[in-house]
Order: sequence, then structure tokens, then C-alpha cells
Amino acid sequence: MAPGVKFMTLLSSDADLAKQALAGSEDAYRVLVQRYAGPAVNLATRMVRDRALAEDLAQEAFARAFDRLASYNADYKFSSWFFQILHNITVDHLRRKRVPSVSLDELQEAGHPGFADPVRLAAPDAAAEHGQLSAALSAALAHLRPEYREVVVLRYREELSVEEIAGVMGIPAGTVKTYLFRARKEMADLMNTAGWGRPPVETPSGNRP
Amino acid sequence: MQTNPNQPWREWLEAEAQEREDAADAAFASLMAEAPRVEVSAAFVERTMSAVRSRRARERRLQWAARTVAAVAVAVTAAAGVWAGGALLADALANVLLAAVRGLLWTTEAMGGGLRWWAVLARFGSAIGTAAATPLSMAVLVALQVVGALAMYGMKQLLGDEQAAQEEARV
Repeated sequence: MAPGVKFMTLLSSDADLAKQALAGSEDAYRVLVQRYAGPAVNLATRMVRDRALAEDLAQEAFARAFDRLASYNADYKFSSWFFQILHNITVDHLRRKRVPSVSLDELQEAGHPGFADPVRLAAPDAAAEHGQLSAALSAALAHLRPEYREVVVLRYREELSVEEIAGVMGIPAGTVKTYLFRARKEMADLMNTAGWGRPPVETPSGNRP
Repeated sequence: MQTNPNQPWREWLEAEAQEREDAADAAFASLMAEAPRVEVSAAFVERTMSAVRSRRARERRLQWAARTVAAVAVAVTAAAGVWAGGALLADALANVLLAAVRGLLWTTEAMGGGLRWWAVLARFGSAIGTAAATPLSMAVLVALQVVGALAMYGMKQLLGDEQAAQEEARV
């Protein structure tokens, strides 16, 4: 935290911070950046599957959001407004670069963390279940189409409503619901393929085989 | 370690298999909420704020440059307008005087043989055309059209940016 950031600034709502930032307060905007840096990098990483690139895109989104603070309507959530800017930047990048659907084998061969081959998702193992579950979920999520990944992250990680996601992505709410449904089903299929859907079999020692 | 059959992932997959959509959605939400969060370093925040600052400085420089260019353009256009306008006015006055003298002579001559109004109108139109269609006036008209087209293009760009900003504001 930069010196001089007032305690009240930390407690302020997003809308208040945006207003202060528009009036020239750099500290206020810094707090907004701190609040949304994680979600922004997370969303961008899920979309472009490259952490360094995701940080660049998130940084560009914060800079562009600052430029356009005057157009932010405080009656709506700052997060939705900001995610729309990030969405546009990321989609523009994907279109401009024509990023192909990189196979997960390639990602794994490139040593990319968290993107295991979904066909070989980590199977449940009692000893390290939580870590493996996270890895398996990440891998399953990475296997989805970019728009499915985006709706999953916005809905279940950033807790945006279907209508807010529709606004961010510029698509009808019904399409968002369809994407969420299909994304969940595809992830469940991948998890089941990896053995996560099998009923628990207890060994005499209490461990699963 | 014993596997808990009531873990969210098991609830989720079972609900999906049984097509209990609401239960599947709730279990999946709770599963995703438990997943580890992406951590960003303090350096990322500092880099971002630095980018914001330099962008703001660049915007200010651009605005200053745009205002300077606009002021110079207005001054040059005004000077050119005064010069071209003065020349045009003098030219037009000379032509009008010439046309008036010719018209007077022609009218005097025509009055002897009887007036035909269509001939008067044709002569009148021809005189105006001759007076207006000088190379300088054509150049001024073309220049005005070019300036108008550039202004329309600039306005379209500005409106496009404004529209994009308003669309973002609506979310």
C-alpha cells in the first residue's frame, strides 16, 4: 500500500473510489486496481491461457478504464463495467492474433502450469485430493471453448449475475444460461472420464484404491 | 485419509448425472468458490499504476498537440479566408461592374428591337455564371468541400468513440 492512502479510501465503495479517481485521486484508483487485479488476471488467464499475456491485457484494461472513468455510471457495478472493458480488450487480442485453440498437449509440453491434459485429468486420490481436484478442475476448464470459460469464471468466481455477464459479453442472457449449462456438462463429462464420478470404494484401511 | 462422499465435487457430479439442474448448479458454484484464487504481486499493481500515469501524461501531451494543431489550422484558414475572400470580392466586383456595363449596352440595343424575356434571363444567368466561375472561386469551393469532408470524418470518429464509451457505461 502506498503511503498516504487514507483508511477511508480502503473502506470506500467502488463507485466512490471511481468518483475520487475521476477527480484526480491516484490513491483511489490504486485501491480499485488492488481490488480487481486478481479477478482481472484470473479472467484474462482463463481466456488467453498465458499468465504474462494476461497481466499485460489486465494492465491495458486498467489504463483504458482510467481513461474512460467519466463514462462510468455509478448506478451500476464497477466490476461489470470494468470486466466489459477487459472482455473487449481480450477478445480484440484473440481476434487480432487469431489465437488457435492450443491443444492441451502443447500446453503441457510447453511446461504450462495448471493445464494438464483433460483426458488424463488427475484422478481422485485421498492423499492429495484437494490439490488434485483444483488441478483437475483447472484442466477441465481450460479444455472448454473461450466463451464457456469466460462465463464460468464470471458467474462462479466473480459472482456476476447472468444479466451482468450478458452485458459484459454483449450477448443475450439466454445465451449466457446456455453457455453455463453446456460448460458445466462438458466439465462434468471430463471429470467423469478421469474417474471423479465413480462411487467411493473404501479399502479396509479407509483409503480409496 | 478417508474420502468424504458429501464433498461438493461428488454432489455436483451426482446431480449432473441425475439431471438435477438446480442442485448441480449450487454444488458446482460451491466447488468453484473453493478453488484457489489467482494471486497478483504488489509489483503488478505498481506497474499498472505506472502505466496509468504514463498514459495520462501521453493523453495530456496529445491533447496539447491537438489543440495547438487546431489553433494553427484555424489561424491559417482564417488568414487564407481573408486573403482569398478579399481577392474573390474584388474579382466579383470587377465582374459585376463589367456585366452591368455590358447589360446596359445590350438592354439599350435590345430596346430598339423589342424585349424578349427569355433572352434577358439567359443573358442574366450567363453573366452570373461567368462572374462566379473563376479558377480562384473553384479552388475555394473544392477546399471547402475537402475541409467539410475532413470535418465529417473527424466527427464520425469522435461519435464512434463516444458511442463505445456509452455502451460500456450502460453495463
